[in-house]
Amino acid sequence: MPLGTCDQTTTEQEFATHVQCVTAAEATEARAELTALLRESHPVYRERSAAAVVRMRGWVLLTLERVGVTDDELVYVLEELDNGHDPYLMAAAARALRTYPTPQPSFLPIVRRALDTIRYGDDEFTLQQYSGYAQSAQATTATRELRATQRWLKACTPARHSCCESASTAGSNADSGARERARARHVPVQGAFEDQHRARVEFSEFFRGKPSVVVFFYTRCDNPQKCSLTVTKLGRLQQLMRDRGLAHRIRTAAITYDPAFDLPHRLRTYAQDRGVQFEANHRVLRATEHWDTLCNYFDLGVNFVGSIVNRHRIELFVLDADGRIAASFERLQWDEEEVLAQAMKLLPGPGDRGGDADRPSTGTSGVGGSVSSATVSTLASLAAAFFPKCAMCWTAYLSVFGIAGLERIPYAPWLLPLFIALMIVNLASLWPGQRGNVLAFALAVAGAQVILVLGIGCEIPIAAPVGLALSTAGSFLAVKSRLAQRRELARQLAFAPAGAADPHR
Amino acid sequence: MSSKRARKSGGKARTKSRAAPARTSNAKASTGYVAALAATPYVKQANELERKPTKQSGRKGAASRKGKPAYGTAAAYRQCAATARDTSKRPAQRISALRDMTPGMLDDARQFASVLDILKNPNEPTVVRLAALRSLEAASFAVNRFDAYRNDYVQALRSITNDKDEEVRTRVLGALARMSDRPAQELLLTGLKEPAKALVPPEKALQLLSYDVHADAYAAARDIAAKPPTKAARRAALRLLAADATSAPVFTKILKDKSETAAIRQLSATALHAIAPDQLQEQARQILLDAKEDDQVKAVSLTALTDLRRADQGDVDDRLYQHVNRMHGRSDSALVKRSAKRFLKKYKR
Amino acid sequence: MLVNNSASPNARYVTWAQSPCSVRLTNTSGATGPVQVTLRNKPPASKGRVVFQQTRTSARVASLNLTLPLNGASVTFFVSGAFGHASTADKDCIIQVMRGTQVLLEVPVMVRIRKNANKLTVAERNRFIAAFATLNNRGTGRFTDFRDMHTDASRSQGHDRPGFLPWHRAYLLDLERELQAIDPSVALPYWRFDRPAPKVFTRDFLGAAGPGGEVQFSANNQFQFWVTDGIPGIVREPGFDTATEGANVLSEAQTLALSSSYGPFRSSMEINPHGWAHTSFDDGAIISINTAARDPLFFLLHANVDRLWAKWQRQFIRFLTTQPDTYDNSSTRAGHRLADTMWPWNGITGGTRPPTAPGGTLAGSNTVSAPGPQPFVRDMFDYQGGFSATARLGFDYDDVRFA
Repeated sequence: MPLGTCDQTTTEQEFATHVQCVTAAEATEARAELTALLRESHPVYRERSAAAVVRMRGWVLLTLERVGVTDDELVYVLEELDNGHDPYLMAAAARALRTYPTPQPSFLPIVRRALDTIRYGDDEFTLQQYSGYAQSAQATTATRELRATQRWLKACTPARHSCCESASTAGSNADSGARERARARHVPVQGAFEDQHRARVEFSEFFRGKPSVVVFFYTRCDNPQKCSLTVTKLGRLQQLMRDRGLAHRIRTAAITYDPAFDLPHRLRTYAQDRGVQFEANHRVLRATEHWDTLCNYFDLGVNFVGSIVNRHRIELFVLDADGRIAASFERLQWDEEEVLAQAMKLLPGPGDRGGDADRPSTGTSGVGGSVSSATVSTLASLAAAFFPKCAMCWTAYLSVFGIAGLERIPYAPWLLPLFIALMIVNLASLWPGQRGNVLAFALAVAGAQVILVLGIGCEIPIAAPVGLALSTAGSFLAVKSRLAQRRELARQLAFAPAGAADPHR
Repeated sequence: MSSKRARKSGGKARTKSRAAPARTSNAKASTGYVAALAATPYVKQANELERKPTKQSGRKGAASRKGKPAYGTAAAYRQCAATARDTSKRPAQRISALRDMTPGMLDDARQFASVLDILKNPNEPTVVRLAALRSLEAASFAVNRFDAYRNDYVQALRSITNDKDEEVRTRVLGALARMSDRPAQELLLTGLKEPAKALVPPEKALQLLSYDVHADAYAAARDIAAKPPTKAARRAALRLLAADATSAPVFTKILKDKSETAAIRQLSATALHAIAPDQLQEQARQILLDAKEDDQVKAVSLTALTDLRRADQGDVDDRLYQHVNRMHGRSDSALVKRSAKRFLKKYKR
Repeated sequence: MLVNNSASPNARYVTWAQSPCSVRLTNTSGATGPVQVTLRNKPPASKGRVVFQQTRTSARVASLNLTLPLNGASVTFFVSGAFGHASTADKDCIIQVMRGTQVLLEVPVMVRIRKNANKLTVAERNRFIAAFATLNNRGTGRFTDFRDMHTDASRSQGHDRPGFLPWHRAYLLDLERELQAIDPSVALPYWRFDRPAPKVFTRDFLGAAGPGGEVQFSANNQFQFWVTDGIPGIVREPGFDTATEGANVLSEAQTLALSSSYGPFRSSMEINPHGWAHTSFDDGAIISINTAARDPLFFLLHANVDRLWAKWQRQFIRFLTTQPDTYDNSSTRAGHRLADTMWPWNGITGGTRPPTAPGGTLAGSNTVSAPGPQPFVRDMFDYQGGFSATARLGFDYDDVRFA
């Protein structure tokens, strides 16, 4: 059975057998499937007990020891040492790490931390067989393996330049540093939460408008190095933000993996006890619907048996003001300063309306305004439509009027291509993109086609004014649409606390 | 500070007594210390100390009985160890010896090993084996010194999880379960799924598995709650399911069901309180308005409404209040009357 | 009148130790010179009674005469609970300020003392249960911090090193103050584990062992809603007859005779009677460090351990940390030296400390200022303020005198 077909119906014995069959000479695909088995969300871990997950992951790590750890797998190995607490997994990870071809001195603090963690919780294993709690002469302990790894690391002397160069991928910051994520991911339009005070909030409501830092946790996590520490650090991050006057500009949220059990009173107590403070922009949340959507959106590293988490990773996401994931910190302990630096990159630049942050945009007064103000707005839009706003618009208009009245201009053969080029520029300026007005663009395209095809090509007299009217209408609609967007944005900002900056400027 | 006080009260100014190393104190209290005492409310004790110096510190133990080494000395620990190992002694003597040797065995690997041997030996009397287990568990509180022996201890416990003595098995599995020991959890789960392989009764297995929320016992608990082999097993299963948020409907149903025992309904109220507190408040109200309800369940409901209602849920309604008021006057149950009185006091109209 | 240097009614709680007080004239109409007053306990004699002292070293008297100047200047004095006369209800002791037969002022106070759990009145017991159950609040209240402070991850902070006793004293004090924030009349009782305790292990108090070890409570005992780690209820099966026997541990006299020096005293008593008290149960969370704090009995057990230490201190006058036998300061481990602050109240995490520090700083008190939000090890010794009045921690045990 190929590893890629393993799922929750695969027995542990089958799993162990197939993993064991992977050799160092395996093709890339098999190797990639092996690496994929280290992801918590792999279907093979669905509905497995936590103990089974430990056995299975441990076996994968021990197989890595046989075939050698590559850069792709390094972070999983380091993760187990950095913030794991199971002695079997730590022993397996310690052994696996010794096969990494370019050991780094930066691994040493991680191994030391693992030794501290396991000190009062070690156990004895026989790592040669699956689920190796059996007694044998070859028994080992996590402490023994970690010490061996420590000696190995101290003995290795990598060249200084290669050490520094690869530190970003292989050191303690391997993948714990911000990982830029493609922003093209579709933002979930659905997703409702309940916060620690039982207030309901939608995903789009909370995670749009400002950059956000989001962590995941659950109150029944039994690993103090994971959820308890994550939420504690979130509290510290909040304090850093307050110290730098950023608490109103960047949101923070801690979302539970266990929404059924982590009711608001539990969320509140858990977070408060770890120094988290609650405000409108800083909340602890549980998903009340569309949990799967949320899970898929963040590609969460978690799995469940029933409603109980059986395994999860440390994960923190930095979202931009549209709620899209801009960066993530996964698996290893993250640094509060680094996270804050990532979030600050998403803040608007210094030339923006920071000084006016206390006052909402004047556009808010036009929203739902009186008839007279709508008339003024419409006339203003018309004037704006007819009066070029920028050099490109001026040329665009020239192109329209020029082509429309081309027969009145003395013959100049070079004018036609010029005006066509300018018309194309005009159309490009009206391109709707994600938020623009598609109808406006369509009208402008129609107008251009009427002028070019019917007016110039077929020489229909009425084509020119009709084409002109269509293009003008398109331009007018585009301007009106942009003004409306600005008014909506200003309305949103009006509900933001004082000091909020316009993220779109 | 002490010299300041001495000056204030007109006493002779003295230099502050220097802190001496912990283990080299003198038999006679230093003059500085006595002077410090004299300037405090401990003036009487200061006078006593001047008359009668304290015994030499560092010497361990109560006055030794004739012919026996003083308690707490190495000699005493060796003697206790010998008594504990001596199968010709009465069990009570050996149990006493096992207790008294506990501090010493942390400093002596052979003594520690001998206690493990007693625990593992199926030919030893059960009470002596269990005393050995107690001694080891007490020693485990000395976390640093115990560290060196921890692995041997865990391996010893694992080796006797299938001991022929049920009490030994149960206690050993309990010790392992409290450590969230995975092999022990696997044994308990296997016993729940395959009763022929059970090492302890199902209610005990469920109880031990409840120490670890990640022990994955919920599926087994649901099965047992639905088809319980015994009442005790069902109760244990329900207790464990109280940590499973999806079980709220089960507990609501039980709480409403008058054919269930008061004890089980009380457990259900507790469970709802943990996983669906709003449901408990609503059910408690319904129970109180039902004149035919069991008194004990009414008392539980009153306690829930009195002590566990959230501030944001506000006051209780007038109908309920008046009903409880009448109940307080008419009920024959002292339990209900007491609970109702507290309710009425809290929601006084 | 100020009690504990405060006019607030919330500060009117005293122990056997000396509470600094003052009194002054506020209405001098009709007075032509200093006013002679007498302070006394209002008759008839109540459960709670106090004694007075003019200075910290003067004799304790049942009534005290003071001369109050006409200019309204305060006159200081000290109030202590009369040993053996602890209150049983909130503010059941009334201090009267008399001028002849005229009552000028009545100030209700409470002599609030940690008592033997087996000797509590029903009202005292119920108040304690109510406060503790409220703190637990279905496993989500502040009690969760206290549960999280005592796990495998934090075991080295308070076990098997000299700081065992000071750390647990701070731990209990923090818990007690949280209980007093809910009900100021509550003091943490202790389980005298070397004696039978027939009133403690009952359905109306800490629960009676039921079949399989699950503890049973009466229907109006709020402990029935006790939840820790998401699981309701308590498992506790004594290995002895709690009604007629004590646990199989060293007696109090044997414990106090272990040594007059802190080092050997602590290292022995940590195993026996402390460790053996934990393991005197056949089954239950209380047996292991990692799970013990799930059971409310754990805190009463440790209150007795602390009481034994307090009694040992009193016996050998071991309150001054500069006196060598008071403490073993030889540890190299952070958190166990006199000059160290203690986790979790110091908020220090990582390294030799656990990864997180639940619960924040140590709770404050309305009656005393010590030990402060981030206590040092050295702050836990002079708990009665005998050497330094400001070191007083605001608790006492019913059978451990002050001076």
